[in-house]
Amino acid sequence: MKTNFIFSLTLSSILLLGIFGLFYDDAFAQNLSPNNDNSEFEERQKELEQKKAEQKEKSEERQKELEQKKAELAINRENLEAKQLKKFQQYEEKLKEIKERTQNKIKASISSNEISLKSQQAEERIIKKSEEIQQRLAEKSDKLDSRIKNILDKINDGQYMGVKTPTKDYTETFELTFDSVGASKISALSQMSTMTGKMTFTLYDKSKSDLKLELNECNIVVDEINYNCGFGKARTVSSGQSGAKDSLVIMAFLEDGVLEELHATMKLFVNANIPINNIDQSQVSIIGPQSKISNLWILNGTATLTKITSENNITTSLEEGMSFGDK
Amino acid sequence: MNTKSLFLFSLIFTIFFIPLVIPNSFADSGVVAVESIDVIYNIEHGNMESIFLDPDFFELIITMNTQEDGILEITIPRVILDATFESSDDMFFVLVDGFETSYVESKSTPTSRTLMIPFFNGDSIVEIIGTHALNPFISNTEIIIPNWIKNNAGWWADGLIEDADFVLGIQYLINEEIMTIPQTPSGQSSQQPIPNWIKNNAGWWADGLIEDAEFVSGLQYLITNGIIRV
Repeated sequence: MKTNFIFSLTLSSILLLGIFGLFYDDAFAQNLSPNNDNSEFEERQKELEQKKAEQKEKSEERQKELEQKKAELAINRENLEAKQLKKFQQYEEKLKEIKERTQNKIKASISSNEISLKSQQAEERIIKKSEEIQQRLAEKSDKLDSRIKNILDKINDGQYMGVKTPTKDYTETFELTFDSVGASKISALSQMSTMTGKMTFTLYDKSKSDLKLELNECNIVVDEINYNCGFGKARTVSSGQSGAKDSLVIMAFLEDGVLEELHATMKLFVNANIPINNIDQSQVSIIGPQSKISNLWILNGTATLTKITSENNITTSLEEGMSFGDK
Repeated sequence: MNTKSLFLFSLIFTIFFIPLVIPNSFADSGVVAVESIDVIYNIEHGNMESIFLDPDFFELIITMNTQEDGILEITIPRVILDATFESSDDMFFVLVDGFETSYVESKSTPTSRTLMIPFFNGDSIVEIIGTHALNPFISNTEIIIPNWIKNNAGWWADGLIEDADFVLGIQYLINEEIMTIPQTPSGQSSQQPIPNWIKNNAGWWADGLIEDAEFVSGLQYLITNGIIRV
């Protein structure tokens, strides 16, 4: 009995101590943990807030920097335009002469009462292939400046368009028709005129997303003066951050169609909503003031870019169709 | 003795001081920081006025004063401006005073390209147009697309998934930030059909023929035209 009593006393004291220990532990944990959690939580909170404040400060600084850079870019662009003004006077006289001759021609056709027919014929006659112009330029190469001569040499050496993927020939052509393009005189930007006409390109090289185009011919009219293209090229670039090649940079050598003496370079930045590679027909933007005819006009407006199936393919399919019909 | 020292003084002055005082107006070489990156130049018969980058049009524009016909030699770090076709080097388009001009590339390294551009007396603006330029105005939002979306894109291109289902799926993934694309302005909601080229692109992307960016450009078209709402 005594042993039993002692045994049960020991057991119950162990149990009591155990329970007490549990409570004590819990109490300890309950008393201390919240303090730890709170301080850790507060520290984390502080760190987060500090980080947020730092990030905010950084983004504000970055914003300021970008705004400053934008302002600098705008000033640089303005200065550039101002610098271009100086050159314009050299061309003004020539432009006047060409314009007078053009107007005289028009007057002459009015007097013969065949205005529409004649002007149509004149327009048809005026369009010349780039190759023809290159040949004529080569014939009078001694009168040309070395800039044009060097480019003609590069065209003859096959270097003008750059490296081409070997063994690949393309037959696709692209047509750029100027629908509504405003031309403002570089010397007096308020003096506005229009540019009409079209340019035709042949696909020169193609990769997964890049395109290179060779200028075939062009006929454009700016401020009533006709121009043809001697040579030119274009390639796709990306206008945004996605990397999609939705823009074209075009270079074209222009020659006036009247005196055939006024030479200029047309630079166009053409922007589309979709990758150029995917265009069948789409309206595109001509972006100014980067688009321009050297020292003469700044161009801005819209055009239509059309991919044309090659004549070879059409002929082939027609022939196939006919042969089926014959059978 | 006095005459001798006077002569010596004049000689030293002529040799060392006069060239320092009178700026050399017939040649100029130096380094200009463009977007904090050094661009090295050397102008024969001219002085540098400014160099700036127009990132929206991939143009490096140099303004200068020239006294005679000469050559501008410029080393352009590729990180600032480069011209490539696919992944190989392509030519730059170069204009001097608005006229297309041919140039010689005298050196090409993995980090820079050196061009020698001829100019005429009186020319003052050189434009070098590439295909890629450093653009500080574009935040480099990374494109993140889980790989499994390629399967869905492929099924969609093969006609196994309806247009509406694919659009809803993509819309959900973008809104839930499971896939990340560069910030794109949303257009007014519309029910217009999805252009074929986007579907073709999806198929090509699924087959690994085009880059993520090309596929994303299609999605951006859908967003700006209100077909996908994010």
